[in-house]
Amino acid sequence: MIRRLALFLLALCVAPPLLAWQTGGPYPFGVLNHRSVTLTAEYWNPILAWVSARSGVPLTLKIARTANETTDMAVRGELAFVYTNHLFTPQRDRLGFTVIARQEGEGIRGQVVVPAASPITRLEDLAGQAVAFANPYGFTGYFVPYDALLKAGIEVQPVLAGSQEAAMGLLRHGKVAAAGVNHQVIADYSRREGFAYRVLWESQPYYDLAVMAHPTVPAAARAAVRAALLAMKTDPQGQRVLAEAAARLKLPVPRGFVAASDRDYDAYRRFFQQTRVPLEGQ
Amino acid sequence: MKRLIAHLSLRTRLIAALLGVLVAAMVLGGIYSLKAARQVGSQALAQIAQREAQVLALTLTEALVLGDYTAAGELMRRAAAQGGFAWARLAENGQTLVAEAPPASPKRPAWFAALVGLETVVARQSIEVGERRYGRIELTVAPHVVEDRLWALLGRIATSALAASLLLAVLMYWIMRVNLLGLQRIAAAGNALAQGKPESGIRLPPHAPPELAAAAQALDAAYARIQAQIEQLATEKERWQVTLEAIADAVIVTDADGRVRFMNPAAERLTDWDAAQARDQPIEVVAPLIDETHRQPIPHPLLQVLREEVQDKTLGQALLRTTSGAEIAVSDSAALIRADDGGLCGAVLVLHDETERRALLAELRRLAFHDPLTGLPNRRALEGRIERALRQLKAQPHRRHAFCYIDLDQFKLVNDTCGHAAGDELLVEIGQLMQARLPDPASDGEPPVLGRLGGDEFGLLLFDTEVEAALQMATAIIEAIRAHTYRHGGRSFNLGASVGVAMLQAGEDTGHILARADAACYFAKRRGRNRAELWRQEHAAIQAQGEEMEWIGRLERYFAEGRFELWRQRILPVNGSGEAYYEVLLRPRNEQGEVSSPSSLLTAAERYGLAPSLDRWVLRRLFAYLRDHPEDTAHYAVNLSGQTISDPLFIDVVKESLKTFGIPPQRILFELTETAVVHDIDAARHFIAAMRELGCAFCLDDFGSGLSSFAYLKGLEASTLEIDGAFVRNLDSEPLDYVIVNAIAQIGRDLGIKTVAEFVENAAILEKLREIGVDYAQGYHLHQPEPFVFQRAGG
Repeated sequence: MIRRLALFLLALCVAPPLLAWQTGGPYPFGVLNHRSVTLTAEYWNPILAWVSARSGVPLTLKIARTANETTDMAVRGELAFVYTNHLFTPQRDRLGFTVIARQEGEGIRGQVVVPAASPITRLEDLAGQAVAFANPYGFTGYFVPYDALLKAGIEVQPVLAGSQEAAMGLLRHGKVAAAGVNHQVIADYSRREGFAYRVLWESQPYYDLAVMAHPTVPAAARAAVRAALLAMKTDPQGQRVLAEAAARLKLPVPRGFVAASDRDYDAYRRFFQQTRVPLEGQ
Repeated sequence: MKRLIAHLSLRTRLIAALLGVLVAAMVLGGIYSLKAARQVGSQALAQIAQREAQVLALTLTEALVLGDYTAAGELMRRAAAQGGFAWARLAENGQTLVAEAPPASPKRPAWFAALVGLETVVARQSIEVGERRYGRIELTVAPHVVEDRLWALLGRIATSALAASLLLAVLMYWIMRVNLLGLQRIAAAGNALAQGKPESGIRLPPHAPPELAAAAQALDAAYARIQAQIEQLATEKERWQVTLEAIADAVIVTDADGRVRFMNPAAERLTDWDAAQARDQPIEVVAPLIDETHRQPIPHPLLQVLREEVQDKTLGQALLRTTSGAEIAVSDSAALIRADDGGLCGAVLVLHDETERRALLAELRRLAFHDPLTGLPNRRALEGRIERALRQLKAQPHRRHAFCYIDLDQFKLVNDTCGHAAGDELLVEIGQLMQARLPDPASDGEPPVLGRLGGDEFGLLLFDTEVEAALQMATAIIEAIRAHTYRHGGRSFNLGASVGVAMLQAGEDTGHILARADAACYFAKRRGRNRAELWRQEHAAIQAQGEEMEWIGRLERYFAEGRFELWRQRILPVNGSGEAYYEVLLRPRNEQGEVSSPSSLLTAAERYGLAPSLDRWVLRRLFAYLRDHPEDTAHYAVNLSGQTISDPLFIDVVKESLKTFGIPPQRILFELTETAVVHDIDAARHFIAAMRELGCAFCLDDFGSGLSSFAYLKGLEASTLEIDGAFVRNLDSEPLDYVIVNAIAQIGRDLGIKTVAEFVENAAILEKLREIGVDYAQGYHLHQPEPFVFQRAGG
């Protein structure tokens, strides 16, 4: 008896603390914030409200100040759901997050871009030049283009701006010679800000960010959220929410969610196995 | 109040009005501004609070989305520290964040806050992102935020208003200074004008407004007009004063009561009153008038016109009694003086001193009937006396009166040799001499009247005198004149006289008496002078003389009735060489239609000075004929009297007539008798020279009838000599005439002068003339006189 009590107490001591959703609170839904916190919230709050209402699973937006911090929150297990592509590195892949859906679209590509008026026309011209990247967690905003430069043997001076739009800001204002960017993000930025750019290099397509569920999220909740996400583009109300959300970000077309699985993101996993970019604990 | 306002100057009124308007505007502006400030301040405060809430919400949004309440709290505190709001609270899911601003130090005074009355405003703002609510902000904004701004605004407005007021004050001062200075100058000019010391040209300050300039111009114009009127009045006054002082008449002006207001110097002299003393005295005292006959005061004419209000009154003769008692004959007139509106102002009395005029009238009357040289009655007086005697004869036919026409002989000799002054002296002596010889009249008889008829002719009217006595009286006078010796310049002269006596007969007129006496006197002269002849009806010579006299009366009537005619008689060359021409003759046609001889007519015309008129008539008549008969190219000889060539204007008459009628001067030859030339030899020379220069020829007529013909022939440069008919008429039978005519013809040939013989009445005479060598002949044997035939009646 004493032994059982001692084991229970030990168990109590070593057992991880209960997560929020495990205590009846709403499920934190993290979003890898490529944009500002407020824009991200403006986009996702209506979606999450609709999904919550549709699925019956209460979701609350949870984002950190930067994408890296958001990823760190996911790594720390503070998020039940997360919209990201940072979790396919070998180390994070082991956290157990499961892909339940992804944002529809043709996929994302990494690009090395320069301003349209730049005299630089080849990657080789970037040798020794400063090239901006989003942050060391970014896939298409850091790993893919930087990997391409490294594999091409072009030594550049990488400048980490914090986010992709910050990197684009440096490029626009001539602080750097080129930038490694997500093709979709820079296209949206260019359309919104009227910035003309030229692509020096472009990667193969990768699926856009996935909606992933923490392994502790009950299967029912996971399924309900997945169903709601997939139904959103066909439901009139969901379409309206998507359209309004897209309008806030001045996106050309609303983008709904489609079904996806972990296998769909093996390309990410293979990239990380071959990349020359140092992962340094990711 | 009105009295107080009435005493305020224009400047005070303007300033008071301006201040009143400013104060009222400020009070009203303040009230309205306060209300507006309260309303606008409340709205502004609410807006500020709402804006602050929105700003705070935006500030907090990101922190709240991230769930970073620590950062949110810090942001709220920082926002509160900036003083945008007084207090703020964020409430979300039971969490509350509060931030409070540090105590403020309002810049506005407390009274202003109390006056504006703004209250603390609470604003609420919900923080939502993407339709998710992250919290609710409630914040308050203290009113001093707006109050401070209002206070600052009020300060700026007050400063601007003060500056504007100062500017307005300066502007008003300048405007008032300019305008009031101009007004003061206009007022000063008006006062000066009112005080009679007008100044021309009001000098306004620069930039004076046009109204003042117009007022000044109007005042200047008024001044100029008044000045001109004053000058005009002064001029008029001076003119009238000078006029009144200059006129000889006494002028006295009175008021409507007849009291003297003005006297001119002539009035002072006439009345013996000094004008200053006479002022306000009654007119009847200053200028008392009395009747000329009875020496009694008469109603004063000036008082009469004042009383009767008749415009003027002329009373004629009266006597003015002066202060010295003298009585002066005056003629007076009085007239009313009325104002422009017709009101009676007074009257004016004009007195004319008649003393001199009456003396002058008496002298004129005397001169009118007396000869100024001798003092004897003149011709008019004598004629009047004869006329009166003739009238008496009608009532007293038994009475016998005689008239003697006395003509001095040789008087011309004294006049020509000793001058007219001596002649006048002689006439006076003769007059006195005859006057002394006049008989004394009977006690109840009328004294004889001796008068001067003119020149050296005297008339004596003897009353109640028979023919014999009259002749004796005439003879006595002749003897007395002959006995009188006149001495002048060491020379002695004894004159004679011829007297014609005519008895007055009832029913005859004065002219007849004078003419008969004149004719008798003329007859006495022809009978040897120094004798008296009685006019008798049957005496032929005297009758002829009478006919001449009658012509005088007929001449004008014949002219008026067109009874004078032009005739002509051809003058032919004796030896066939030369060109015939005509002599123009004047013929009167009597009442019976008969053409008569002009001899008595011409003699009368010559004697009584009417010859020049006849000569001019003949000349113009002839020129009219020649103008109207261009086919007649003959030359014409025209006779002129001595009186005509003595007329200095006649030369111009000839020139003008020749020019007017377009007659070549060479066709005209003027014939002058020796008598005419002797009448005034100088005038004759001048006339002949002028005619020769003109181109006319000159013929010396009746040559040989005078004793000095050859002397005249020497100096007159005649182109033709007409031998007196007395030498031609009996040429065929009188050897002496033959010799004379031959001599004259020889002289003519020697001097290159053509000769003409008149009165050629038979062939024997013509033959003699041809034998002698006379150039031209004229007479009934050669051509009977014929009348001119005029184309137009009266032409």
